[in-house]
Amino acid sequence: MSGEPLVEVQGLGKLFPRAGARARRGEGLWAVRDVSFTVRAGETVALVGESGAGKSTVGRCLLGLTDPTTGVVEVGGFDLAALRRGARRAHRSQIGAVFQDSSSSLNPRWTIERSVRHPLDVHRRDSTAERGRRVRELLARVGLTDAHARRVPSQLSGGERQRAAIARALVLGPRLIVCDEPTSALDVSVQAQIVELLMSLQVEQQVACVFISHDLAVVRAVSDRIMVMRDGAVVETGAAEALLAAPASAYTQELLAAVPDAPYSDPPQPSRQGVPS
Amino acid sequence: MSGEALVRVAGLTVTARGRRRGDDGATIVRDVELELDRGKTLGVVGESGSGKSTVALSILGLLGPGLHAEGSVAFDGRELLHRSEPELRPIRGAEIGAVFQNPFRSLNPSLRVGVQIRETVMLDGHERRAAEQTAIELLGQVGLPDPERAAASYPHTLSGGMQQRVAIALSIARDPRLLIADEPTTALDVRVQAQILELLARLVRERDMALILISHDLGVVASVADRIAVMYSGRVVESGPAADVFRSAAHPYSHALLESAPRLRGPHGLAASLRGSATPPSVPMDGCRFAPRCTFAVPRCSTNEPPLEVVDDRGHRAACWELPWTPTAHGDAAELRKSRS
Repeated sequence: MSGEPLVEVQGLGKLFPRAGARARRGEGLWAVRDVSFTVRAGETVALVGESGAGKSTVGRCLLGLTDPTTGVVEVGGFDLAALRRGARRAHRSQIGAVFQDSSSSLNPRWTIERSVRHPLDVHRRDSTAERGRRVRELLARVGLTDAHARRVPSQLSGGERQRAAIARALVLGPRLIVCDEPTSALDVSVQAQIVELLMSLQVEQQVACVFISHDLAVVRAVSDRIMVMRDGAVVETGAAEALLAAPASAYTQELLAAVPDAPYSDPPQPSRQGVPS
Repeated sequence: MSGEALVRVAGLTVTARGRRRGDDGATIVRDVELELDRGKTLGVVGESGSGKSTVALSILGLLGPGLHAEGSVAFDGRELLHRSEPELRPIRGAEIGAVFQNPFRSLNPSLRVGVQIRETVMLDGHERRAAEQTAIELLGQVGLPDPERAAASYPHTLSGGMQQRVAIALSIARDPRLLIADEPTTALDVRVQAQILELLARLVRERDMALILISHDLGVVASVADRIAVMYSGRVVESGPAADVFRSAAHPYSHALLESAPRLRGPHGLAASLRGSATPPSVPMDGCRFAPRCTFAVPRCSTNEPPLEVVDDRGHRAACWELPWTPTAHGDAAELRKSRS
């Protein structure tokens, strides 16, 4: 579990400047302020907080979708922002992404098979036959059939689309996946399926995961460590169960108190198995 | 319970009209029964597409032009279904208020908040001055820190939580006896959600108002409801006192839904006990609509649809052939699944 540090974030800050002259004076909104953390190989770190806390901006910096204003983000020993375009693209194949809205992360006019295969084509991995084999294998692993593979996203349910998005995120064999609210748009029963799939795949493929969510109860089930954010800054970090059992900051306590917890049904079910700890 | 329920929905079936002649149309809600007493809260839970919102719109008489409702929706002894718009108008808004998920869409973006509430209050014949005063009082009651200032604001200048408070103020402005809240906190952050739920519970208490709270979130419903109705694929599959339904779910679907919900305390929840997804209500099928996903289905389940039957004498009912269904009677669910796979 606790492998080598894979992700190292030091003093990360992101400023969204105001329009016009004030931008030149460095005015604007600091969406992220002085955030530092480490993610080890195979580990799941959750970023939680309310809307506007800066969770997604941290995720986008990890993915190299936006450049940090201050600080350094290193994944696998490389600082994405410092790399030139070619090297940056090659390096990005080590990081997969799963977003909340699966319909907007898949090309609506492509078949599922083509979308999942696309990263392999872009990075010119393997032979054509090998690519096809890898895609079929992965689709089967996430629970999609050959019939699903030939459909376009609009012909799938939300849960099936999210399975396809997970397959696409994993097709290049990344060392890190960034999941930004991957289950927030799904129904409760489907959410449980997707979380189970993500967790088993993560263990199988030894991928580290940064799990971004507003839902503390979901985060509890999936993460090794939790980082609570508010207004761009880290409020509190700790081992998942310990932090939730005894939150140190008043803000985390307030968040936890506000969650209307789902009731039990008798007899209490055995607690979830297969949770990496 | 019986006799003088404020709301009684019986045999409610909603169909979408077919495009062609001879096309029967698609069923969206089937044979729904609900009952709600004065001053009580009914929680309706279900996943997307289960028909919860359609039931709410049927009660409000707000079904779209392509939708047709049959059965009965009785409010305070009066039948509401098939009333014309002029017949509904004195009831909707005045006696039945509504709050929806997106508060911004419930408000007029080009009118100051105070004006919108004042106009609503004036519908009951109050004078402009008095109505203005009432508007500010209402904004105070829903917990806006500076009611005068809020009254002078336009909706877009307020946060989502503030907007939802304004929408609630608007919905109770004419002192309705029933409030229907359809996913009122789904778009809100968790701390704001807690405040809004508290506000709704307080209004129910203070105004002796009945509340129908519709949500996909079991925790939200559990925190305020006296009674629960669980919907699946257009039907009510279980209903009863909240404590009973949650503590000893009688329908396999309700039980699996509770197992699937993530939890902060005790077991993590999130057990993937439900495979696949629900059959949409529009797809015709024989037997129990949950049977294809049910671990405990017997042959009869796929041929005959079980009626909503009484489980105990406290008004707990469930639609399952295998009643009394308890996980223990069938062996532990998780164990059973493991042995089958």
